[in-house]
Amino acid sequence: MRVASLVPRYGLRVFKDELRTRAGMLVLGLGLFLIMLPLPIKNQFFINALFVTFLYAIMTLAWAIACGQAGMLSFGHSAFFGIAAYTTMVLLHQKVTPWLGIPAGALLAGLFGFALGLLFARLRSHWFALATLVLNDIFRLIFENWEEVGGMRGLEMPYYLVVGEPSLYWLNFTHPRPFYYLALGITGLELLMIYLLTKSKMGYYLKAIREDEEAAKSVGINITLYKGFALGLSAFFMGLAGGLYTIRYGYIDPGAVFNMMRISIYPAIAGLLGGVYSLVGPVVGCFIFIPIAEYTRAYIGSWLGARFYGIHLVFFGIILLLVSLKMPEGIMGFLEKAGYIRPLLSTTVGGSGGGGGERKSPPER
Amino acid sequence: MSERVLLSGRGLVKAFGGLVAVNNVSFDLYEGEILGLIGPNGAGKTTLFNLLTGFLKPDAGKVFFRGKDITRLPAHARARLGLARTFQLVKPFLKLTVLENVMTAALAKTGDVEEARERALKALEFIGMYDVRDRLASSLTLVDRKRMELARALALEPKVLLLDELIAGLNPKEVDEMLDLLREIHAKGITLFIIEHVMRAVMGICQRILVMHYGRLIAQGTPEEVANDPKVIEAYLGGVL
Repeated sequence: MRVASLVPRYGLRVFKDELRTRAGMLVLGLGLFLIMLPLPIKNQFFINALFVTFLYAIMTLAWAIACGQAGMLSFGHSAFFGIAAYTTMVLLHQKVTPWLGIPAGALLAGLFGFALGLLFARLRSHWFALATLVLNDIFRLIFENWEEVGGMRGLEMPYYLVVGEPSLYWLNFTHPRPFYYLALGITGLELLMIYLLTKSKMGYYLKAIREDEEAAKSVGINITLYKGFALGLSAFFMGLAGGLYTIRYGYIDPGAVFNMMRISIYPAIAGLLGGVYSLVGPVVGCFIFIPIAEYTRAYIGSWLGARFYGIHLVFFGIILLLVSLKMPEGIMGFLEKAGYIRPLLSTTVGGSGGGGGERKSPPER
Repeated sequence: MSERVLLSGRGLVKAFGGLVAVNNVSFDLYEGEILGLIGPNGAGKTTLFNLLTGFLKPDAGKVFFRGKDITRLPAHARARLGLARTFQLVKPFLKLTVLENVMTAALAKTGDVEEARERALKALEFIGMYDVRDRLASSLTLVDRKRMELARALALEPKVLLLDELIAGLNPKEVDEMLDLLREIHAKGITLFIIEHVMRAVMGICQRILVMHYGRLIAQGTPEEVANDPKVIEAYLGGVL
């Protein structure tokens, strides 16, 4: 088992433990189901809807690395999404395959996230949130005025790709199914990474920082550095989503990729709804929120007429209000606390087969 | 008691606006001793601790640890050097279990999570919290939170432990247990520097005591010397007597 030996010791052990459990089988079964899912579906619209949901799952999981693990509530993740989207597109024009372009974009976004994490490390909770909120507009304005990358008009995929044959090398497909698999694959990879992260030293450190920064310092944690790591990792995965968006739609402009509502806030709502402390919470949140969001945006507005454009935002407000009042740790957090689901996939409590033994008493609060 | 100086402050000053919380304080902490720090409320005791552990930067003065100037060293680096602390208002990681709380500290000594778990379990066993290791910190009582914080500090394998009102708020039985625990910790060769209001505790356990009043160090010496020092009596009871 050469591959297995590459996995850190703790990771491997935890894995074996978890695969034996029912939750492990459940994850495996669900994975297979999701792989088979688009095969019988003829309607491309539905496959695309699934793709969009998983695209948001990537973004929401990424966002939740910062918020759920390190307690960094960000409303400016579109910056990372957009940086990677533009990088991927510019590289595409330089005849670089998206197989390299997407990781390159994500890496650039990750480095930027790391630097920003260091810079904003002193800002706590709402101050950090406010600082990140501004990023949406800063980056949109920069790219709207940056003529070399298309300015307001944005950038389109090179013409020879638009008219070209479907190609795996260029990730150029007309059917949404391959994109669905890409999104699913990245989501799976991301879940795995987050899972390993929570079992690692860094996972413990981020949780300590989230819970109490002063106490974290007192146990020897360099909170500035680790906040950088957290935001960097979060930005990297957000960047992967940005790159995927670019090759799926073949056209980007500043208003779309640096969109505060649809790129920065949607993942935040979906994440809080699903539960940021649970491993799968953000994905669950996306499967509930994204369909509702798209439906209300498309239909509620038109029922009531143009005068009520934006009424869907009221629904988002109601959802957020209910979640924060009734289940502040999201749907998955609620289910785990209430005992409906063993918090096996929780990233909060070490009940997840790490060898800590069974819990003596039910968790409180 | 060896005569080696472990931790010392030289001319430490810290002001918050017009209030000088710590005013030109110099002291030495010797290796292996139990040093007490007392003084009326607002005397600047916790501020002095914050200066020593790096949670605050002094306006003037220097902090030395084992002869090395650590004045510019950030708090997390000082913790790794062996300067551990607890907080006056306990700061547990509420959403983590007791074991995970202590593991965060043990990870400073080893990068390996499994080994950190072993070390944390040892610290919990020592402190007598092994049985509640998998409970969430938020479900603990005050005394257990304090004991957990002590275990967390011990998992750093410190040279010196700065304890900020560890005993305040405990009932008499808990105070006695905590004092026994402190003696055991001291017996392991860890130097203790404690802020405490409970006089019975301070007088019983400390070998030497520093007294602060309005930011200044007004007296130091053995418990008897300090208790009979007119300046100390005046500070506590007012100038009338």
